[in-house]
Order: sequence, then structure tokens, then C-alpha cells
Amino acid sequence: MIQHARTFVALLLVMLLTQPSQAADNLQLVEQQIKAGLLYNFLKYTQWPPDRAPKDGEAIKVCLFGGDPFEGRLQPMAGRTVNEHVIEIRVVSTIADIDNCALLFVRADQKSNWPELQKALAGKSVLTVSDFSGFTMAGGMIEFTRVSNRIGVAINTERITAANLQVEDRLLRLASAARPATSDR
Amino acid sequence: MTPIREKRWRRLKAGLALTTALCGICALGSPASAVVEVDPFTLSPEELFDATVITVSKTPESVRDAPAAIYVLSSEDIVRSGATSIPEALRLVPGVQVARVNSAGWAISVRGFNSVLANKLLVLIDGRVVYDPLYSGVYWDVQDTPLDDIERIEVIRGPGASLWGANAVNGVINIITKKASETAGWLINLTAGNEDRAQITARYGGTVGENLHWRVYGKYLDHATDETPFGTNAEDDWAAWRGGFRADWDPNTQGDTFTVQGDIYRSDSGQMRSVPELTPPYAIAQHENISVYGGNLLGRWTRELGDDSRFTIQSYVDLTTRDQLTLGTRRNTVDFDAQYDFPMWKQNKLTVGAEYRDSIDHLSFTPIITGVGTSYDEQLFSGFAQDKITLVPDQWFLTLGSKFEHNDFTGLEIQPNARLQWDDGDLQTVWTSVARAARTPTDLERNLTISTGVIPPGIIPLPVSVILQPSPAFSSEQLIAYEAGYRRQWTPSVQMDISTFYNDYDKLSTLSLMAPQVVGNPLHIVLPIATTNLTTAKTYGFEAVLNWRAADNIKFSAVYSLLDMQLDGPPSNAAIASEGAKGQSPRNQFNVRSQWDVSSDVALDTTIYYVDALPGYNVHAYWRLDARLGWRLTSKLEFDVVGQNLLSDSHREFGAITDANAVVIGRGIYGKLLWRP
Repeated sequence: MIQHARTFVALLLVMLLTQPSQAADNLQLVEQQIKAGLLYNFLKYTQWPPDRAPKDGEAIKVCLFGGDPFEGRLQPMAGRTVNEHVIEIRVVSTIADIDNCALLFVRADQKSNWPELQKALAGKSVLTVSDFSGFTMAGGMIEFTRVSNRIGVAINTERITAANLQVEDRLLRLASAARPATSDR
Repeated sequence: MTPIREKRWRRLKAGLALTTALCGICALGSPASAVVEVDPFTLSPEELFDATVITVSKTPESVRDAPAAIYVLSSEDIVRSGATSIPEALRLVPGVQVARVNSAGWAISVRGFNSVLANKLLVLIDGRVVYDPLYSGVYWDVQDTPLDDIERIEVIRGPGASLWGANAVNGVINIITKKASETAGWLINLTAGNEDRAQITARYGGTVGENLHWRVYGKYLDHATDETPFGTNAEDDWAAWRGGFRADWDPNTQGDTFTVQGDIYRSDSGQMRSVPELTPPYAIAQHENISVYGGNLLGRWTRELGDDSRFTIQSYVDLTTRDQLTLGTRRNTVDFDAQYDFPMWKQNKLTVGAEYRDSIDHLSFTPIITGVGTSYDEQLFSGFAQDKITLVPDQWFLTLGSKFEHNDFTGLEIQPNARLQWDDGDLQTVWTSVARAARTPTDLERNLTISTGVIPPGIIPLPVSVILQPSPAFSSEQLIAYEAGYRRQWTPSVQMDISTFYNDYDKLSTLSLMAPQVVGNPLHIVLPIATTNLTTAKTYGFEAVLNWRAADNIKFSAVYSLLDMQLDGPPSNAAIASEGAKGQSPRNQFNVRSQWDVSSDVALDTTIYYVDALPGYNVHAYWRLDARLGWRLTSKLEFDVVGQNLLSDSHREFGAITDANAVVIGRGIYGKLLWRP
């Protein structure tokens, strides 16, 4: 199974299942808040190729495909800036609308539409994120996972590279801090 | 129940004051229990990965943990069953008796006592009570929310865990629609077939700013006329339209949610009706138009206070007008609800709430129903408190609660409930419960006169007019319910749920014959009948559910329900009808369904139903097979073909063969195009 390394798929799973922590001073957040915060960090630590990055003064677009599953927790991100770009959040429901998205979040119930979305995304530099299980195995870039009472991510670095995106080591290192998962392909 | 007085406005104000007062409690509770609000966008990835997830429960308990006989129909289950209406979808649910009387009429009950006037059930749509206080039953012809908008239907068998509103004697059906954020964009549903000739639903959802989601919908349906058991036209074709909206606003991260929703509707259906006359032929079968229109508007505010506490207030108005040969009614209802859930000390989870409802009925008298006054005002004050106590963390829980309900007929009804629950990790749950419930009297029993029929002259040389007279002494029907259940996840793919019950009823409604009188013009005998409380009953049985995910793409589910009813009333020459209840609910029922994803684009779903005979109506046991072939043409377009009742040309489900309005249910085929442009 070690050979799978050669497929460039380093599927990294964060499993911060450290010892049961002292709940008292541990930070407690609603699941959607953690995911929203992580999405902001994905924007922060990802570099888009110069020709695809938003121009100076342009907004960076976060698109939610199929609706907003964040129960209002993501909306406060709109209007904030990341790397000097204002963040704009849009709910999109058709493939035609995903063109100018920097980050595309695919709502879990849109799993069946993913293969078609993926086709439409070919050749584009869009960071794809979802929380449906198996997303990275199906060619997605970042998948939220839930391990016990913590949120983790699985990252498909092959896809990120293929889309001409660069995710900073800080995020990847955090992911690799846990056990690297093997792909069963 | 009293005729309307001018105090009404004062009562409304009292209700408002009550909700305001309770809101004060919420404000007081807030600083004590609020968690520090953290801005997640200022946190580093390290901090976010290290944060633990706290659960803000939207529903008080997940189904697997609830110490009650609860079953949830998901929106997927509903679509894949091929059902085209809420009543038809309820056939899948354990412990529920569903019988179609004619195109727009159903008899539906939980754990027995089924009737077209079934009166021991609480039905809610998004928190709005939809049973009609005139007889405590549900007009299913106007409970026709588009199935595409329904998130899930929760059905609780047994007295409604003390939390729910009035009338939750044998069970609660809770219909919950999707949030507006779940229904963005267009949806067009075109259904056409031989029984459901047309069902057209159009829906559009959008957003305003970032936090306000909304949708509007319109629906039209046209159902074909059926045949009577004698092969004649039952003239029960049904056409209805409805429209509505829902808006959800989450203005901030404080956990506030505001919802406003409403519907307007009109339904026109028909049926044959036997109208009694004092002259030959003593009964005339007439076609009866049933015309209903109305609307409702509901507002709700929920605040999540963190720390697992939340506060909800809700209010609605509901106006409905029903016009038919036998009944003319215009009903206006106003309702206020408040509920507060909060943890206390370490082991207690409390829920307290209050409800005020004022419902005014303006009746137009008909040859069948008359009364003294035409306006009937009925008020309900209800409060409840419940405490879920953790006896041993993650293992033993005791829930104690009671509802205190004041109604205009019988005054205060106290309905307590105790539940004990044992959990073994996430894999098994055992629970047991004892509860008291009361079905309070209605205007139909207390205040109105109903002409039920005329017996033609025979041994008695004069026609006998049978009159159900007002029975001011009729009091609440009483139930003590004993329940137990066991739920287990055997393997990741096999799960089962068994619930058993023993219901001990007292003071059940009984129709008692009074002294006949001879009256003139034309000379006839009046046989008055009073509604009394002389019947007792014991019902028992169990429901079992087995779910098996055989493979990633195939799922089986089997549901079995057993019901035994023992009624004991006065000798049959002194009373009628109540014993008949036994023969109106099937003893055995089961359904087995499969959901098979043949490929990523094609699904094949089948459901087989068995429903036992109804000796009270001479209805035979029947099998029913429904099948659905679903085909996803593109990501925006789906096409379904559904066959219903595939096994037989026709069968009867309810009502005596001589009932003019009972029809035979035929085979149905329809095609459905679902388009999300």
C-alpha cells in the first residue's frame, strides 16, 4: 500500500484525538463556527495563480453550492478582508454561476451533482471544499471530517496542485501532524 | 365553551401579557447561561482544530435517544414511497391506521379508534395545530403542504410526552417543513396520472442580503372521481390550490432565528351523502359539494442561549371556512406559545412552556346540524413543565413532566407523565413510560343537535328520526397509558425498534338511547341519543421496525403493527356505536419497503402493504403494492413513474358498503417530472 505515495495523493487526515482534554479551559464552539473559521483560514493560506487571483480592489468570492448549511455562522465572514480582498459570499445553484468563485463549498446534499461540477471545474483554479464523506476520494480538495468531538480535514494535495493552487505548509503541516491516511484506490 | 362575549379582546391581551412575561424569563436567563461569544474568524487553524464541538440541539432529542415510540419519515422516504399526499405517506408509519374514504377524505388514527371523525390525535404543521375543535378531528383535504417542502414527518405514538398541545391522546403527528435556506432556486413538479390527474407545484426561493432566506410556492391538484362499491360514479372529484411563503432570518450570530410563514388555500371536492327525510323514501342520496378556503400566518422567534438552553415564542392566526350540505363553519383561531429549555444544576434538563388559544366557530345550520347559538368560542390555557434528570451519566435518565390544561368544558385537566430510560452507549436504548391523557369534549358532543338518519316505518308504523342531542354532561375521555420500548443498533447496517403499549381507557364516549317521543307534522317518532361516558376499553399491542442497509445502494425496511382492542360498555340495546370502534381499526398491519439505487441515475423503490380486515365495516383485508422508478435525466431534471395499488383493480378501505360516500380505491399510475432550472 506504501506505493500509493507515487500517485501523488497524499490524503491527509487530521485526527486531533488527543487525550480527552480538560474541558474547562478548552475552547468550545458550534460545529458550523469551527468550519466557518476554517474556511476563512483556507482563504488566508491559499494562493491562487496570478492570472486567476482577484485583481486589486476586487472581492474574493466564496460560493456555496446548493445553499447555505452554516446556519448563519458563515455570513459574518462576508465583508471581512483576507489578503487585502473583501470576502463576498454567494449561494449558487447552477454550474453556470461557479465561474468566478475562488472557493466553492459543496453542500453535502449536492453529492450527486459533484461529478458534473467537477467536470465543469476542470482547468479552473477553484478551491473545492465539502463535508460529504468521501469528497477527497471523489476528486475534491478539502473535506471536513468529524472525529469524536473535533473537526478535522482531509486534503487531496494532488488535486490542489493540478488546479495550480498553493496551500501553505502551515495548513498541510497541521494535517500531516496526524496520521496520513492511505487511499484505497 | 361559551357564546362570544366582549371579553375577547381582554383575553387576547392577557395572552400577549403572558408571552411577554415569559419572554422576560428568557431575558433573565440569558446572562446567566450565555457562553462567551468567540469570533471564529480571529482564530488560528491550530485553535480551530483544537476546539471541541458543542451541540446546540435543534430538536430536543435525537430519535434514537428519545424515550418514546417515535418514528420519523424523511423527505427522501416520502418521495421514494410514491405518495402524493401527506395522508398517503403516513401509511408507512408504524402504529398509524390510514384508510382512504374517498378522493379527499381519509380516516386516520394512531393505535386504534379510527373513524372519519377520529378525535384522539394531535396534528401539527410547523407548530400550528390543525385539528378542528368542532370535533377534535382533522380535515385532511386541506392539510396539503407540497411534499417537496416537507423536511420530515415525526409521529409519536402514545400520549404526547406531556409536552405537546391538547388532544395528544393516542399520538402526535408533527409535520415539519424545510427551512427557506434549504429551498433556494426554482423547483417545478409536474405530476400527471389516472388518479392524481394533475399536481403542479412551483416554488422559488431566494435571499435578501446575507441572512434572510425566503421562498414562495403555489400548488394545484386535480384528483379523479372514484367509483362506488356498486360501480356507479362516486362524484368525488377533487380540485384544490394553495399558495404560501416562508421566510427565515438569522440576523446575527447570537443564535436568533425569526420565521414567518403563511398559506392560503381553496379546496373543492364532493361526495355522495344520504340526507334523511321524514317522508318516503326517508333518505335521499344527494351530491354534496365540499368547499373549503382559508389561510394562516405564523411567526416564530427562537433564541439559542448557548449552554443548551433556548427560548421560543410563536404565534399564529388561522382562518378557515367550510361549506358543505351537512356543515357550514367559519372558524378563526389565535394562538400564542412560549417554550423555554434550559439545563439546571448538572443533572437536570428542564422544559417549561405555556400556550393560549382562542378559537371561535361561526356555524351555519344545515338540515343535519343545528344548535342553540351560531357562535361558539373556545379558549384553552395550557402550561407544561418537564424535567429530564440524569440519574447515571450517559446511562439512566428519568423524565417527569405534566401538562396543566384549562378548557371551557371540563376546567383543569392535569396530564402527568413519567419516563425512565436506559442507554448503553450509542447502541441500545430501553425505555418505559406511564402517562395520563384526556380527550376533552367538543361542541359536537356538548352543544349541537345532529340528525343522523330516519328509520323507515316497519314493525313500528311511524318513521323514526334518530337525533344526537346536546349532552352537557358529557365529560373528558380518560386514558392511562403504559408503554415500553427497546431500540438497538445491531450492526452498522441493521437497526431495530420495538414499542409495546397497554392503554387503559375510561369514560369513553357512548351513544345512549333516551326515551322516544311521538311528534307531529308529519307524525313521527324522535329517538334521542345522548353522548355519555359509559364505555371502558383496554387496547394493547406492539409495533416493530427493522431497518437493514444491505449494501451501499440498497436499503430495506419492515414495519409491523399489532393492535388489539377490548371495549366494554352498556348492553347493546341501551347504547350503540361505541363497540363498533373495535371493528374499525385493523388488528394486523405491516409494510416492507426497499429503496434500491440501481445506478447513480436510476432508483427502483417498492413498498408492499398488508392491512387487516375491518369487521365493523365488512372491509376485507387487503394487500397493496406500490412501485416507483426514478430516473435522473440531468442534474436538473428527474423523471419518476409510480404505480400504486398494483395488485388489485380495486378495494374498499373504510366505511360501510351502504355509506353513500365510501368509494373503492383503484389502481393508480402517474408520471412525475421534477425540474430544478
